[in-house]
Amino acid sequence: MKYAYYPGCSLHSSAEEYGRSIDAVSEKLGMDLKEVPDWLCCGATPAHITNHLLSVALPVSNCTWAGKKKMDLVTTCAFCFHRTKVANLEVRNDEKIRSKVQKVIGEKYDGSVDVYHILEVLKKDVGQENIKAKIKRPLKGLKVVNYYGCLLTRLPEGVRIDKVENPTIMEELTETMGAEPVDWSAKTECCGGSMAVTHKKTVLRLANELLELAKNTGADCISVACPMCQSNLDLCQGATERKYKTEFDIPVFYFTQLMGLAFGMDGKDVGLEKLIVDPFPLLQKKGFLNTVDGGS
Amino acid sequence: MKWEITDKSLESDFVERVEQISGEDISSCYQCGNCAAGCPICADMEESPTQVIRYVQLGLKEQALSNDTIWLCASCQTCTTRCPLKVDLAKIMDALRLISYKEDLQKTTTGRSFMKDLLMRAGQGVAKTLEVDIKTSLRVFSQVFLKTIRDYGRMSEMNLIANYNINSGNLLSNMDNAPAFLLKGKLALSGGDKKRIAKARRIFEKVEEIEGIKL
Repeated sequence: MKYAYYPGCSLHSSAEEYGRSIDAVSEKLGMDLKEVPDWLCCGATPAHITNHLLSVALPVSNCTWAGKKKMDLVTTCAFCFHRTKVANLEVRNDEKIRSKVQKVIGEKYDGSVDVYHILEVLKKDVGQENIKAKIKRPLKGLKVVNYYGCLLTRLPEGVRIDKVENPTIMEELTETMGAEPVDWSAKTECCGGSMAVTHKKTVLRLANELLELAKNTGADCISVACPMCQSNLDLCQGATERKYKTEFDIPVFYFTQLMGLAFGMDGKDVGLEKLIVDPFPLLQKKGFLNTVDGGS
Repeated sequence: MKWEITDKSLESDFVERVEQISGEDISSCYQCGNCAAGCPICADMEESPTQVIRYVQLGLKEQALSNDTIWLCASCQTCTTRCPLKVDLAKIMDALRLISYKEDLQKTTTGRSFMKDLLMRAGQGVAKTLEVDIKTSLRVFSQVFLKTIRDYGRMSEMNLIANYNINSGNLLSNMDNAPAFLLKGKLALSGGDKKRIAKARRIFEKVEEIEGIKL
């Protein structure tokens, strides 16, 4: 299982724990993730609100190496995934934009690479049975609310990774890990994304609604698959509590951190120390911090 | 703001421009309001997405572009995936932003003046209300973000926040996150990588050449 791997900007900085846990988990599962050399930022929001050609050329430039090596491209951040997948399809299906992009990036790339989010690859290539076989510390008794965020499932028809409004791919993984997925109505509600910088009050309002809904389900923690969502619910949790005079104290994990714990790894292997809302009291209470033989 | 639906507005080329850029059929929308109902940001917007597309249908460019709706829009695609007529409203919002950006660019002579103009507006905004309006805020953020990619090939939170704060006049924005960022080592060093930088520079220069604009 060899893939071209596009981590995206934040996995080497503010979301380093997501990158670290993906490395740890993928190694355990025999997945060979080859980081795309000299990858560029996908452009995120600034590119697509400024110039269309730029917003397509930036993410597509990250697909060409995978094309030459005949590998699929795996992404981790839901925003990078959405931008890269949509831009790549545009190059594949629209010859006008394809020829322009080829001029911009200086390569004859035709959009042939398939772009995936790591959740898809875990499901279709690794498979539930193989993941289960690596579990050394089932997360029994851990109630997890899975938060997909807005972009992961909101792709054009025909190329979606799961049902748009009520996806279940993360819940399936939660069950495989031995934990209990808790159903809730805000699975794919937007967290406000980069408005954390430009219009924080919107993010705090949305985070408040999401965190309250999550808390009311009785869940112990939230599990996410996007660095923006994680940041808005974790880094901004304190500010949300202060603004709305409430208390949440709900840890927000990357789903791969929970996978690593289920595989028997230590907290440091999956970057638990980087989380802002302290996850250790919860994990201690549930007995998930014990050392496991053959874990790391 | 007073506005009128006239022959002039109905026959203006604004609708055509929006349709051409977005690839969407604006007249399909029958104003059911599903988009506004699902929009996570609607509560903070001056006008709802439904109202904005109505302005577009009536050829009312000023009204469509002058409120904060298109700038607060998070491009979350909720409207697009829920529209019963499959109108891609997120794409239409993008088209409106691109039209607005092109017009703002034309009002200034070179790319640098655009940024200067932006900064002056940011400064004025802060002086008046101690707050910068979302359009200016987002533009400053985007310009700074894109410059960072152009110069480094990738994002660097330290550069981004520092430049954004200085340029937007919002000197202390996001400073409440600074302790966490620093203590938890969430800041990357803004190191340059020659190949990556060259790749990024080329893309920006080629896009400017082909599109005849300054980014």
